[in-house]
Amino acid sequence: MSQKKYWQSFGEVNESEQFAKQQQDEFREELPFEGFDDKGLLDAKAPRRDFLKYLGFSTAAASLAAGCTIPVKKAIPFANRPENIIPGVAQYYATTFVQEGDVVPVLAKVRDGRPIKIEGNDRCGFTGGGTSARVQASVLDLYDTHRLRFPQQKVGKGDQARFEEVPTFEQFDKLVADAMNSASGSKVLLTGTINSPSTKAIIAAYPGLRHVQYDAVSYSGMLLANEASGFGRRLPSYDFASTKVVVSLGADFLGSWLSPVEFAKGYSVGRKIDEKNPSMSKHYQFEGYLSMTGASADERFVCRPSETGLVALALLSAVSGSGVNGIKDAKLKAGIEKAAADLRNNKGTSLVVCGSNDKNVQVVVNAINNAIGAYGKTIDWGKPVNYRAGIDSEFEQLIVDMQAGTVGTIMIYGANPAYTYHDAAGFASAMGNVKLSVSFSERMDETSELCQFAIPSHHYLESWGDASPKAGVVSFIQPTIYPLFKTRAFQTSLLKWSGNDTSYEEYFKQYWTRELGSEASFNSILQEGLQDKSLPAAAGSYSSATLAASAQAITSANAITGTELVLYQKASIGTGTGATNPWLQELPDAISKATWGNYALVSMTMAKELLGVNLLNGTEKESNNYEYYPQKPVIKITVGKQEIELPVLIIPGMQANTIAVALGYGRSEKLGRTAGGIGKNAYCFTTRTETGVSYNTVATITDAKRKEKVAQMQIHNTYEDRVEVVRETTLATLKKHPSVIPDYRNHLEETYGKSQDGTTTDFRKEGTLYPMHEQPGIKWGMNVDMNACYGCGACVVACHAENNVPVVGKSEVLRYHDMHWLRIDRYFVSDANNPDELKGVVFQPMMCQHCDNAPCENVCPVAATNHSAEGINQMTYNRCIGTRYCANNCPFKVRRFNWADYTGADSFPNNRDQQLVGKLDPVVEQMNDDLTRMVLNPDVTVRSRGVIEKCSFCFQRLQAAKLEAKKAGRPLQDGEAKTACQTACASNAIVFGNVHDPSSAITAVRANNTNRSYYVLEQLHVLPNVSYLAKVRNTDEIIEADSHHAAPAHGDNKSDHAAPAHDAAKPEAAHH
Amino acid sequence: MLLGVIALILMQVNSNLKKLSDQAEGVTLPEPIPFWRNKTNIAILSIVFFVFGGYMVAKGAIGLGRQKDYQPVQPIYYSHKVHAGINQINCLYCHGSAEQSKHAAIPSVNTCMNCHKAIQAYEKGPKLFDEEGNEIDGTAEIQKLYEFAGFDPNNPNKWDPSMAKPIEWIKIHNLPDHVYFSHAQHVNAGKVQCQSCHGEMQAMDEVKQVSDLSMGWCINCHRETKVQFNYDSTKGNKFYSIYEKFHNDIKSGKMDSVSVKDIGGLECQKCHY
Repeated sequence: MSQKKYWQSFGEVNESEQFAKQQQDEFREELPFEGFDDKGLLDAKAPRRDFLKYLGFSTAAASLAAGCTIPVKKAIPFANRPENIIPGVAQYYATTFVQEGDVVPVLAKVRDGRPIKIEGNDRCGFTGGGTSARVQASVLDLYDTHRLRFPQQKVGKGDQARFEEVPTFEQFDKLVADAMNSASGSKVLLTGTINSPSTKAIIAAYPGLRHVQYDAVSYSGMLLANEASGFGRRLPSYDFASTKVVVSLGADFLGSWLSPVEFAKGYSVGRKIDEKNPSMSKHYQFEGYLSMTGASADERFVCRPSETGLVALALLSAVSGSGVNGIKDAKLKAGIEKAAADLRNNKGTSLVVCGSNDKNVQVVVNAINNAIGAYGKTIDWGKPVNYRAGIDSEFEQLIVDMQAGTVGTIMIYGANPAYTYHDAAGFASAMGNVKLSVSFSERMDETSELCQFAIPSHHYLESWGDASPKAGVVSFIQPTIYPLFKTRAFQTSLLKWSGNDTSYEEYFKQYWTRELGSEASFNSILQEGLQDKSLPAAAGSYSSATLAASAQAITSANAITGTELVLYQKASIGTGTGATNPWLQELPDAISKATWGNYALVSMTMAKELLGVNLLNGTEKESNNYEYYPQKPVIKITVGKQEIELPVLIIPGMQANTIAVALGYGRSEKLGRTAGGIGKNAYCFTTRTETGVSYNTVATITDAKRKEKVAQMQIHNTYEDRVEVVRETTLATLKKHPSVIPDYRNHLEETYGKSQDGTTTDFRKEGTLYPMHEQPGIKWGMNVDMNACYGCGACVVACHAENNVPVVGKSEVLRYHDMHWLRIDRYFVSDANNPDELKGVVFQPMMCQHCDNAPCENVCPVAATNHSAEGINQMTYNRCIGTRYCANNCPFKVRRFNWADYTGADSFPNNRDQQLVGKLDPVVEQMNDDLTRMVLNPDVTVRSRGVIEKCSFCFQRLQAAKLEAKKAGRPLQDGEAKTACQTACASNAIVFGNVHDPSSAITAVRANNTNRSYYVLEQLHVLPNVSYLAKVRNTDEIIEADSHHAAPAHGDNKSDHAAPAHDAAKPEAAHH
Repeated sequence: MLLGVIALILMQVNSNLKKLSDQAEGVTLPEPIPFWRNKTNIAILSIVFFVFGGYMVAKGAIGLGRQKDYQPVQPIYYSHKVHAGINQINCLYCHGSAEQSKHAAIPSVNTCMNCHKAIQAYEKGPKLFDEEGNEIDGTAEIQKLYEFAGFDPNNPNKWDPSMAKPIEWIKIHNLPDHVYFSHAQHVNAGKVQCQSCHGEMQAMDEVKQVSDLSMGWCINCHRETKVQFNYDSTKGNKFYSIYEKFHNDIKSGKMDSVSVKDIGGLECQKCHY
C-alpha cells in the first residue's frame, strides 16, 4: 500500500496495475469494431462489401442532404408585437420555486416566450440568490413529455381500468360535483406542506373541508418536540451565518435537510477565510453513513444511527458540565467531549441540529440548544419557517378514517403516499374505500393511478401563486409561459367546487391587494419577487418539562447489535420528485459519484466480512475486481417482510455496521422513461416507531451472489498519478506555516523560472518555448474556493441548462461517455495507513482551465481549438473533425466527445440509431422530443455527433455583457459578466471576472488569498486561468511537509518535470 | 498562355522538322499513332480534367448552402424602394430591434398599419414591376395587407388589431445554425450601415441577397473595419478605453487605427459558440 493521503478510488489508493493501465487511455472503451472478432475482414459481421455499401450510401446521402435543394425558410413576425418584448432579447421574471414545502425565490429567463433557465433571485436575503440542483433542473420539468396533458377520468374496473380524457373543464367540474353530492362522508384535501397564504385562505373557506398535510420525508418529530419544548408546533429559522460552532447529529443540512440552499449560504460565511487573521467556523458531524454534509465537516465521528439519541444525551450532559455518559466507544466519547467543550466556549454563537424524526431525540437537542444559549441567537423563533408541517399521526388517522369508510371525497395535491408511505399497500386499500378521489398531480404518479379523476395542475412556471417560507416573508409566483397543456391551477378547482367562480389568478390578486393595502404594493412585490419584513429575533419560551421523559425513553431503548439501515436523500433526487428529470438523474451523487439509480453504501469492514471484498489490506486483484468493473456485488436487504436487492458501493468513513440507501428511486413506469425502472424504492424500509416514522432501522443483509452495473463517474478522469491537483491543509498548519501552499510555486519559480543570465526569475515566461499570448483588453479568470464547495451539484445542472449539454443515459455513462462540461471531483483525505480512517473529503469543481499555454491547442490538426485575445481556450465545433487528440493531451480531462448524436443536431434524421454506437437509452430520445428541445438555449450551438466540446466560460454570457456595455458606450463593469455555475452557487464558491481590471472581485480574491491560492498541475506550465483556493479543515492537526517544497502527499521528483502524458512515470515511482 | 502557345507551335515545328529530316535520311517510320490514342495526350488530358473538375467540385461544394442573388416572391409585393427610397422611411422605423437584439426582426402587422390605416392606395409613385416585368398594382398589394390585418378600409373604426394574422414572409438572409450573428453588435456598437451587407435596399423593389454571407466575406470585413476607438475623446466608444496599449501606440504613432482584427475579431469563438 502506498500510504496515499488523497484518493478518488480504491484502485488509486491501492495503486493497482489496472489503475495504471486505465489511466493511460483517455477514451477507455474498446474501439467499436465488435463485428470483426479477429476472424478477418470478410468473415466479420460487417464484411468489406457492406462497408463499401455503407461508404457509397453515406457519400451519396451526404451530397443529397447537403446540397441539392436549400429549404425555404419562413420569417414570421408577431401579428401585434407586445410593447416590451424584443425578439431575441431575454426577459427575466421574478417567481418562486416551490416543491414539497421547499421555497427558493428565483428569476426565470424567458427567451422568445420560452423559459429556458432559472437563476436565483439575489434580492432574497436568506438564499442570497443561491439555487440548488433541483431548482436549476426544474425548468426541464416544464417540458417533460410525461406531464399529464388534460383532465381525465378512470373508466373500467380492475385490470381494465384506464384513464380517458374529459373534453372540457366544465364537464369535469360537473362530473366531480355530481360524484361529490352522491358521496356521503367527509371531504378531505391531502397535500404536501402548503406554505402559500392565499391557498391556505381558500382551503379555510372551503366548507367542511378537512386538510391533512403529509410530507414524503417527515419532520413530524421536530415539530412535536418543539411543541413539547414550549415553542409551539413550529420550526425555527437557523442562522448558520453567525454560527461559530455547529454540531450536526445526522442532519444533512447542506444536501437535503429542511432548507439546504439557505443553510449553505449561511454556512459558507464561516467557511471563508480571511488570511490576515485566519479563522473559520467549526463543524462537528456525528453520523452513521458518509453524508454530503458530513463530507464537509471539520471533525466527523461515526455512530450507529440508532445511537443518535444517546449521543445527544451525552452531549447534553457534557455541555451541562457533567461529563459524557453512556457512550462506550472511546473515539466517539472523545469527540462528544470535544464538541461539547467547543459548544460551551461559544455560547450564543453555537448551534446543534439533528436529522432525526424521533421526537425524544429532538427534545434533547432542544435542551442542548437551550443550554448553549442558541435560542434568540443562532436559532430565531421570531421568524419561524413554514417548510414542513406534516404530522405523522394526522395522516395515520386519515388512513384509519378512510378504511372505516367515513371519508367520502379525497382530493390530493403534492402528496404521493402510494409511493412514499411505509405502508403503501395499506394506503392503497384505504383508497378503495373512498367514494370519490381526485388527483391534482402534474404527472400520473403512483397515487394518481389510484384516483378516479385526475385534473393536472400547472407547473410553477405556468402559474400564479405565492409562498411564505418564513414569518414576514412572502414570495410571489408569476407565470412565465402560457400553460402548455390543458391544465388548471388546483386552487381554481377548489374555488369552483366550493361554489366560488373566481379563478385563482383573480383571487390571488384580490387577496394580496387586500392584504397589502394597495395594488401598487402588489405590483412592487411582483416586480421584486418577494417581500422580506425584518422581524425582531426571539428566543421563544423554552420549557424542559418533557426532557426527563424523553431522556428516559432514549436510555431505556434496547441497544442494537446487528446491521442498521439508514435511508437518506440525494441532493438531486430528493424524496423522488427529481426522479423524472434527466438532468438530475445524470447528476453524479456528491459522495458516490454514481448516476442513474440507487445502491447500498456499505463500510469497508462490512464489505470484507460479508462480500469478501477486502479493500483495507487486500490484494491488488481484489480492488481491481471491485473498482474497475461497473458490476458491483449485490446484496439482499431484508426488513421485516420487505426485501430488495441492490448493488453495493464501498465507501470509507461509514459506521462499520451501517448501510445507507437513497430514497426516491424505483418509480412507476407511468412517470416516463427517465424515472421508470431506475433503482429500487426504499420507502418500504421506513418504519413506524412509537414516536413517528423512522428512517433508520435494523436490517438483515445477505450476499445475493450476483452482480449489477452501477454507472459511476469517479474513475473516468484520472490525472496519471499527478498529485498536485488537490491541495488541502488544516487551519492549524496554515497558521503555523502560512506559506505551505505557495512554497510549491516558489520552488517552481526558483528551479525553472530563471532567465538565461540567471538574474531574474519568471516561471511564466521562462517555462516554455512557445511565445506568450497577448491579451490587450479583457482577460477572463475564475477562482474556485474549495472551502465553500460542498458538492451539491447546482453548478453542474446550471451548466447543462445554459450550454445545452446533452444527457447520455445510463448505458453511455457506463461507457465513459458522460458529457458534463463541469464535474465535481471528490477526493477522500484519509489517514496514510488506513483508507477507512477518513479525515475529510475535498470537492473540486473541475472544468476547462482555459490554459494560456494549452496542450490541447498545439495538437489539433485543424486548429479547431485555439486561444482568444481574452484568454479563453476556444472550441469551434463546426471546425472539429473529431480526432480527439486534444482530449488525449488535456491534463485535466475536461474535454468531452460526442460519441453519438445525443442532441438530434446531425444533418441526418435519426442518426442516433447506429449499429456501431449501439442503442442509446430512451432518455436520449426523450431529450430529443420537440417539446423537451424547447429548453435549449438558442444562443449556444447544439453540437452534433463526432465533435469535441467543453466549458467555454459561458462565452455567450460574456459576449452579451460586453455588448450591453458597448451599446451604452462605457467600459464593462465588474460583475456584469457571470458564468452559469457562478450564479447557481449558493455559497459563492466561484468568482469570475476580468483579471486585468484592478478593481474586480477576481483580482481581489487572488490578491487577498495568496496563501491558499494555487493552480492545478502548476508544474506542467500550462498556465491555467482558473485558480483554486486550497481546502482548509478546521482542526488542530499540524501537517508537516514531506519535503522542502511541500508538494501535497509525496513531493517526489516525478511531479516536478512537466512531462507529457506518455512520459509520466509509472506508478512504481510513487512507491518510496 | 502566350508562352504555352509558342511552346506548342515550336514543338510542332520541331516534330515536323524531325519528320522531314527522318524522311530525308530514309529512316522508316512506324505507323503514326492517332492523337486520341497517344498516351501522353491522354495523360495530359486526364490531369487537366482532374484539376479543372476538382476545382469546379470544390467551388461548388464551398458554395453549397449559399444563396447569393436569392430573390423569392413574397406573400406581399413590398417595395423597399417605395418605402425607404422614395418616402425616406428610416430602416430602424420598421427594423427597430436591430439596435437592441441579434435579430433585426421583420415588423409586425401593427407596425405596417400605423401608416397604412391612412395610406390606403398606391397612387403617386412610379409604376411597379416584378422580375418578369409584369406590372404590379400597389393598391391591390395594400389590400393584401388589410386581409392579414383584418382591416376593412370602408369601416376603419371597427378594426380590431388583436384579430390580425401574422404574415409568413420568406427569409432571405440565412446563416447556418452554428453561426452567432448579432445585429445589435454591428448596427449599434459597430455603427455599420445596413447597406454594407444588404446592398442598396432603398433602390430595390423586391429584396435580393446581395452578399454571399460566406465566412470569407465576414472575415474580410473584420480585417478592414476600423473600431470606434475613443482616441480623441469626442467620438468613439468608451468601451474600448481599457485597451491601454493600443491607445498608447496610437498616441506614439505606432498604429494609426485599430481594426476589428486587432481586438480579436478574427477569432473562431467570436461567431461560433
